[in-house]
Amino acid sequence: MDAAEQIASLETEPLPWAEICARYPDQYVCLVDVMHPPLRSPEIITARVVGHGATDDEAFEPIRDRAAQYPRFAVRFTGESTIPLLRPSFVFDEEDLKLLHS
Amino acid sequence: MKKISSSFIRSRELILVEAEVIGRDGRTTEAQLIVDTGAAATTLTPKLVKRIGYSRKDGYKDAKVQTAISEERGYWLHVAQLDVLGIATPNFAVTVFPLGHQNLDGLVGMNFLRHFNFEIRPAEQLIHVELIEP
Repeated sequence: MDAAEQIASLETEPLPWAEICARYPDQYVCLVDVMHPPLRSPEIITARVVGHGATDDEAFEPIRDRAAQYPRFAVRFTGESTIPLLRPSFVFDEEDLKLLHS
Repeated sequence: MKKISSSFIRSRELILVEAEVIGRDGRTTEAQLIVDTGAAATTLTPKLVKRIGYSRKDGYKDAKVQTAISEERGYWLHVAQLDVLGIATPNFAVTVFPLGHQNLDGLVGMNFLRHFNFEIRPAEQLIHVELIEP
């Protein structure tokens, strides 16, 4: 089985987000053909899964080198984050401030 | 004045919006970003920018981050395009730094938001952006 066939065997039909979460609980999933509600909502109506795994790298790996076939994708975690948001406190110098104002 | 409306999700009382980031060779990833009016810079995670073809060597300047116990280093990067809240911004400068959280890809900071008037309507889960005439 070549790489394209392997991906084809992994790739699902369009699935509702709830079904994706049920099939791949607490995993990262790599999604294509993502359908959202109107007005750019972050919610997902349906998507096709092309990779999944315990890490985002693992989920993305099947399409990493297939940009021509999969030019657009999303990587999502199906569970609740167990790691809090770390909000960085940047220390800006003069050059940084010019970038911020550009 | 043109107005653009976008919906958002309140995720643990954070304002979560959908974005697209275009990288090297046009590869595009969808991203979930927090709208953060308390952040000067827009930040993306290293993992997200790596998936669209960037690495630290594409950064053009270090970005210093002060933590409680030390100083860490992220970097500044120009992504090919950032699309968020219905606004496409080519060659946009972002800081790159890990944010920890598994469901978030970055923060939309004031270096993006300051170019528009915007209104956040939490009860309706809508953000209205008003383009400013040049």
